[in-house]
Amino acid sequence: MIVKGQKIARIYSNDRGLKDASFLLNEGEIIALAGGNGAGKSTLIRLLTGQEKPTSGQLEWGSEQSVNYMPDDVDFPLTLSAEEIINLLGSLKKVGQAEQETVLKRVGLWEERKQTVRHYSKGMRQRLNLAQALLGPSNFLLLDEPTNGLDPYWVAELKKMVLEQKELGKTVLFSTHLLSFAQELAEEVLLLHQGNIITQGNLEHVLRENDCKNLEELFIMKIQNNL
Amino acid sequence: MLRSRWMQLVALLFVFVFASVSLIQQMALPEVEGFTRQSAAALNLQLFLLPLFLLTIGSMSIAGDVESGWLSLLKTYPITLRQYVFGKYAALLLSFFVMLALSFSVVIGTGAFVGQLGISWVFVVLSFLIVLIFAAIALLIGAIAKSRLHALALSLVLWASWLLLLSYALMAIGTFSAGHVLQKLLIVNIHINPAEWLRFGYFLLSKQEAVLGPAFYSFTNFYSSPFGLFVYACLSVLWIILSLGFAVFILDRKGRVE
Repeated sequence: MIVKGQKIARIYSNDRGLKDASFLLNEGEIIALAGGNGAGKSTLIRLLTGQEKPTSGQLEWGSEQSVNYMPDDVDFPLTLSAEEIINLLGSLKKVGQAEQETVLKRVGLWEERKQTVRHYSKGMRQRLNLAQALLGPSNFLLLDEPTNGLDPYWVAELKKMVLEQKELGKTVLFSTHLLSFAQELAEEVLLLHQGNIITQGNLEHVLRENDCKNLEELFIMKIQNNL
Repeated sequence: MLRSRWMQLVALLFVFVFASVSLIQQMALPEVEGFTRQSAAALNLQLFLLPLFLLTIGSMSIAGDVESGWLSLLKTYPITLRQYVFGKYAALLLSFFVMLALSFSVVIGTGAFVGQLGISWVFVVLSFLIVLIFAAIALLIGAIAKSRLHALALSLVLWASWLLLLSYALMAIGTFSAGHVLQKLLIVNIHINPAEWLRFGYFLLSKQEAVLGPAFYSFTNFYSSPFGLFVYACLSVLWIILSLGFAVFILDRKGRVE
């Protein structure tokens, strides 16, 4: 077990957030946190990264975890270059120059590393965001809407990177509202709707159990049942 | 922070205004002893411009990090909020110290050509003290603010209150209240208003406490003593420590259960 949530709730003043979510995440798996906008995916990720504390319920962690995180809504300082940002964040994690170089090359920003973020496209900023999440040792990688702003080539590369991380023995949890992307990559799925977990478990098993061909069909069926 | 175009523009404007005012004052009124129009103008300029630039730039710097998600990301790294706030403080100090050093250099350099244009050490010390205190307050405002715009608004309200409104309010109160009441209010204002605290510090360090008038004799007498100066230094440090401490506390509270 990597983490277990017991009746976790984090409700905001606009009544959105996460409501009584119970879940179990196991080590070494690729887990998709799927659902529509405002389903509570980012809230759950912020709770897992410790940025926010739950209103009620508790998180029970397995052995000592080292979490790397890719947020969905970060704007890097515009006056710094990719190299400087990776260097700054790398120094906080005590990551050497060689690994910083490897990470920048992996996300295709090595050639543009000297340019300030001001001159980056949305896709390049998202790749920089991904690069910082790959920095340093960790056993739990959290990616919040990692496909945002990426072109098809980099979405394909992202899939490869997620699989590479799994090969290294890491647990990868990613949130997405693209159900096809979740289906292609995930082994486990947590389907959220309006702050509630409406389905969770092994993806193939869940689809078979509900007699659905794909995640989209399952999602629509579950939403209609919930209405 | 020095790479920010806004910061560069502010530095350029400050150096230009400071050098121009020093030069014009010198041409209009060559230096004489005591609290002159020249020293009053230079003091007012520092007390108006430096807090304005510090409060807006400093507060928006932290509020910007919160708004952009950069601080949220940093929170997932092995860095404490205390380190983050002190890092921001150091960056702000460095930027403004460079700006001050540049403006003093320009004035001294100009003085070499026109003659008699100099800067007293008290003025230099006070300028650095303004930066030390207002940079800390700026970070506290940034921590309180919910967005960059909110930080800007809060900064301007506080700046206007400390530099303009409180003084006018006291003048208004003085028209109908007894002298001893006004005197007490002025002493309170000196202690709760960092701009007045610094102005008072200038009088203390330049030994011109008499500017405040005979009614403040016992008050100025206390602060001009060695122990009083020590108290002044301690209270100045307290402004800094409390502001930075509350900034860390508020940033820590942000994101917790509402």
